[in-house]
Amino acid sequence: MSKRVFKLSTVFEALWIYLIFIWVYIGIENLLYPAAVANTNLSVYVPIPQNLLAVASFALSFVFFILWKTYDKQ
Amino acid sequence: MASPRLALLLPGLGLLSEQNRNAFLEKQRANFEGEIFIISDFSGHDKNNRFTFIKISPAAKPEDFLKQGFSAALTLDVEKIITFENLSTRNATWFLPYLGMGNVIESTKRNFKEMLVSEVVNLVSFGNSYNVFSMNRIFTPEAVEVLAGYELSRRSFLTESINLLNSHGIRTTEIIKKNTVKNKSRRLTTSELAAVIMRNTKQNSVFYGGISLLTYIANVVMLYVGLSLGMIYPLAVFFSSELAGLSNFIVNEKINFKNRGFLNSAYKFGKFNAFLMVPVVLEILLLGVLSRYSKGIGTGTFFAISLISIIAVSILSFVLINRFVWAKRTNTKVYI
Repeated sequence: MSKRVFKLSTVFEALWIYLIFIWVYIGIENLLYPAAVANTNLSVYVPIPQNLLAVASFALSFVFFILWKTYDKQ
Repeated sequence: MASPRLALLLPGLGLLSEQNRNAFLEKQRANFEGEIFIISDFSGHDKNNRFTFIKISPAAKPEDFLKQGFSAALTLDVEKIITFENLSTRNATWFLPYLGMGNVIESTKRNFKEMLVSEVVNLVSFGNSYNVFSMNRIFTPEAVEVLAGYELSRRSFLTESINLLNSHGIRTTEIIKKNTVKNKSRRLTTSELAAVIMRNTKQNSVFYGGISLLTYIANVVMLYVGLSLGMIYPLAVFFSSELAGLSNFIVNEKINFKNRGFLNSAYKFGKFNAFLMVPVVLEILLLGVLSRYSKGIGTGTFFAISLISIIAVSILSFVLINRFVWAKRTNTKVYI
């Protein structure tokens, strides 16, 4: 067993992937429900409106992607 | 043949504006023949003596109002009682005794076909005039004649159908007319009209179970992520949604069994349990694939906990659903 080394870039990597998954999920949900509703299933866990969550997850995933790439070089 | 004596049970009539109320009553006047008893929280006077208004004091709960209204209507010796109220899961049990009396048209949401018919009818017949009531059973031949000529997808059925009717100049509030079928010697029955619509609707355009499956997977993923971050709230959400789904399912199936509903021909044990097990199997397959192709997943305690909880809840629902559904002989066919 190799010793695990904590890297900050790993956190950012996980975060940007996770957030882009949320964005993709909302996209799929909107394809299934063409008449869009205010809430997504994820609103149970993230109690903000669907459109806000979609925009925020996409923007934040981009931010975390940049952060991941930045810290990964070091 | 004399026209049947009807009673309309309308809990929210008094809530409507006078214009909408009059518009709705005009539709009913055109749609039905003979004397009509209108049981509602509204008391009025009809010039032509077609309507007899019977006022009931409004109850706190709609089901109480309907209960009183049913009792009142049954004392009137009418042949049919029509209600436009959606007797959905919350009001599921109390009205079932009334259904056995043979003279009640109940209007609960029963299966996709009838839901479709009800919704279309609701949209095309009343429009803005009576949108307080969500379900009704009056079928409009004009709408069917238009819609039957087109292939519509289920997914955007309502939008497409409204656009079609608009393009044919059928105003949604003017569509109910008496005897406007082309062949006037023969009126189509409701089931025939529904069959016409369903035949011309693409059956495979959307998989409605898909969103349920997606929701389930999203819930499980959130459960896994939440547990791995040390949060137990997703666990509560997961279990509560399982419980809610279970109770909802049981109530729905009780009504369906009573009313010859959605899966009436498919209620054989094999099919039934296959439907139940599909999400579980796909979930376990998904986790298997994830743990095969990624190093992190599949080795921790959190994975074990979530997998065990998924399997446990699935087995529990499987056993309980089978037990509840098959315990009583509620699957006898009752057709109203």
